[in-house]
Amino acid sequence: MIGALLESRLSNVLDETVRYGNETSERVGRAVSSYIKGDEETARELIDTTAAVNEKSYRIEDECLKILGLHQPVAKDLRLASSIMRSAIELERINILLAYIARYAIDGRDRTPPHIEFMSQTVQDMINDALGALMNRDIQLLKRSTRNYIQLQDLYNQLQESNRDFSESGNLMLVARNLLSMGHHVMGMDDRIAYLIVGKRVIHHKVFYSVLMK
Amino acid sequence: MYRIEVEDLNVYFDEAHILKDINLKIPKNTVTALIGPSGCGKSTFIRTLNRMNDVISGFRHEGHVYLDGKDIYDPDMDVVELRKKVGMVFQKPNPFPKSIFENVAYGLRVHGYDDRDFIEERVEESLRAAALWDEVKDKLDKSALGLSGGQQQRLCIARTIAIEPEVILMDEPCSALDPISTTKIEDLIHKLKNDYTIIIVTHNMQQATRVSKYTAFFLHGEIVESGLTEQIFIEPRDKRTEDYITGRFG
Amino acid sequence: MWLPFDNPRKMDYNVLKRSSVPEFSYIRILDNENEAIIFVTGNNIVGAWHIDLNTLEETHSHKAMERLEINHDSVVEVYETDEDLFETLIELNDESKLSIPIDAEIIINEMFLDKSSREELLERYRIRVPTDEAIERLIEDYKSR
Repeated sequence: MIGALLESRLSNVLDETVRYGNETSERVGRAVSSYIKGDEETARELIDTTAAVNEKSYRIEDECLKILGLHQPVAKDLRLASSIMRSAIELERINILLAYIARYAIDGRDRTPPHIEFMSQTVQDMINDALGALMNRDIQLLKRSTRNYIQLQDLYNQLQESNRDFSESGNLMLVARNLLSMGHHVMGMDDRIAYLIVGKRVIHHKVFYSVLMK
Repeated sequence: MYRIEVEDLNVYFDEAHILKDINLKIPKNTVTALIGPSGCGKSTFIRTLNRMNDVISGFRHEGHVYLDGKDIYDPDMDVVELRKKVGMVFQKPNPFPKSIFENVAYGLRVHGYDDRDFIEERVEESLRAAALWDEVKDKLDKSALGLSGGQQQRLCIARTIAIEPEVILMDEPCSALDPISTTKIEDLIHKLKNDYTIIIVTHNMQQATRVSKYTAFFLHGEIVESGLTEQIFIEPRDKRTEDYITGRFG
Repeated sequence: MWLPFDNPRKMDYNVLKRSSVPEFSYIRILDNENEAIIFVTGNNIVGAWHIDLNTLEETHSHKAMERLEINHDSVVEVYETDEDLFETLIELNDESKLSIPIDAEIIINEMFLDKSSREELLERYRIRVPTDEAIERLIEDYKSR
């Protein structure tokens, strides 16, 4: 039956995306940890495996294209395929950003205030909640994911403030910037997941636009 | 703004209540698709729009069907005039066993046109509008039955538009056609909507999404949901609509 | 704060007439320090959100209403929506719901306060505004008693 086939293909690619996302979240944690501890070995391993891990993004996107082309899904099936594609693309970006963080671990790290660890944890929470929302169509989990963005921005602002006094900033702010960017990518995922769940075109207000325009 | 307005329409055949509280507005010069499972009233509905149900025994209705503001069931409505304004194209192409030319000319003659030059001009215009002229211009006197299925259907469309209707009703116009003919008919519908208001019944949901701006979903004789096609197919409001279009029920 | 992706008709604050505030809308109030969004239906504010753009502190509901300010620097944007979308937005942003709706008059009055109206009012009631010196003298006079 066509209906069951589409359903199972969607279900499989969704599972694959959640697994990819979980792996990405865990790699974020390890990348930041490698930076904080100066753990070159872990850092190298993360860098070396980035390309292979990101192949999953292309496979997921490819499978979604096939689903769209062959099954012409509509309504929630179409929105699900769209959220999955968007999520895969954003997770790929996040993997690249964490590879850069691992690179900074090797190049020589700066001081490491606790903010970096908090930012890392926040990003991981955001990713995990987004994946949970995608998996279960859970709007409360989604809201939790987006609510965490403010915390991320706040931690970044604090670092930026305290960093003004240091003449050599090294790559601390680059690490922080990458973590903030990861937050942007998760917000992108969250917007598409909101569309899936709510069935109306809503997106989360982007406070950084207002902050940037001050 | 609206070519047709249907208000609180209920249709009965003897005791069977076929259409229930139908309210629908059809904007001018657009394509509206009617979708829904078999037997849910779509075909009955469009046949109500040009009073073709009148000939079926046991038919009665309540409510109103306004065409340009006038109720088509008013006692003083001229049904022949109505069927000139509201033309119909059927599922199975039904050309007359006459020449291609005569097929298109027939409607004009029936409506009292007898000027040869005028008829020739109209026949050519209609065949061009139906994207058939180039294929048949050198054999207008040949039998229409010698045309392919897709060509016959386009001939029927030419026949309908020759008498300059305002509305064209199409009841699954492509279901008997091959994919290439289907594409040609869909392209034709796309062109025709600039001049006519088109209502199309279709089982093929991809067709509905390709050709129509508005869609109404019929279920058990009621309209469950209607609106912009993109909204119905991407963000349906009613769960029954979503279940139907995603194939969760047939 | 969840909002529509394709913003519905945005009404230009400058030409906005009081009578044309839509039945369902959300209003964005922005200046350098603050951003706020209120949900307005008919004559009532039914939801509010505020963020301090310096501290990034967010408040919702009545607390947000307390922080709300419209001043001459504020950019005010009115976005019209329909009932269905409005209800969706309120549900999505349920933490911003007001437990008791507030009359939207206060905001609408602020928005439509014609800058020249003060002068008009004074003119109409023949009120002469005292100069700063006159006020100084008055205060000195009072203090000396």
